[in-house]
Amino acid sequence: MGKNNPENLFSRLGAEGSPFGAEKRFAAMTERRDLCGSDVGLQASRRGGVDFGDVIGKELQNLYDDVVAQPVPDRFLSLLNQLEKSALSLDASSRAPRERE
Amino acid sequence: MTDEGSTIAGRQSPKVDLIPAIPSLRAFAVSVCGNPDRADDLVQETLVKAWSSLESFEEGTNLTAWLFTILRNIYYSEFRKRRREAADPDGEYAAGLVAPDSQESHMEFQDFRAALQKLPLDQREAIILVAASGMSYEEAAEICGCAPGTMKSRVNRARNRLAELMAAPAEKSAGARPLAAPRD
Repeated sequence: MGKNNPENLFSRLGAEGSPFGAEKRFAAMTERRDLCGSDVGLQASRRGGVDFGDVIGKELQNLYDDVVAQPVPDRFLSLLNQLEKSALSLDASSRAPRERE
Repeated sequence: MTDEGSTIAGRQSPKVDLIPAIPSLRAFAVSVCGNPDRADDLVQETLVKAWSSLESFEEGTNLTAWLFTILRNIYYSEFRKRRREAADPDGEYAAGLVAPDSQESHMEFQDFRAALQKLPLDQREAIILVAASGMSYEEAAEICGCAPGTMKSRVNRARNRLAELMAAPAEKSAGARPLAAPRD
């Protein structure tokens, strides 16, 4: 208990007089946090589905993630701009939209 | 996946919410249909359709899942039409379209893509949603309009079939390209 008291921490750091002590401590703290699960669980919780944990699972994820990592192509940005513009002008003239299909 | 930001806020332009969903939408589309150009056309149609039916989106629910459902419906109706018109199911067509860099990864990549496209559509989308996009069985089941148990068995069947196809790629696609000797 006493070890976690900030005052003790400071006095110990002062006694050691070395930045390495602090670094080590910090490393130990973050490590403990990992073990508590906040970071360790990240990989699994990012995917709410299943991970087969084999080649097939990896291939599927790579296939998907490669595309997710690509920037949004301009064609979609300009499409949305266009839709927005026509929605605004439609709004202005407030006419019933035509039935489609 | 964050829940915040995936709802359509009243006043903001829907653009703000739709843009962040595009990368997943594209990934889903290309994994399901196997053809990048066609995938982007699907995404485009999906966005247009989504925009015109924003009122039917239930605020607070998952926007990405909603978009996936729209894309899936569009793809299904096209898929049926295509099946009727052309005798070229997506598989062989898609397998020839991607050109990765190195020779070795070429083979593996092609094998996997080709194998994926050989799955029946319901199994393919199931395994993509659950094992690639990271949706839960329940979410995936909702998108596909089936029970979670059905989703689970589709995923299992897809996985087994993929394993078979990956183990013996030469038999299935002997005519399509030079043989990639399966390792053992």
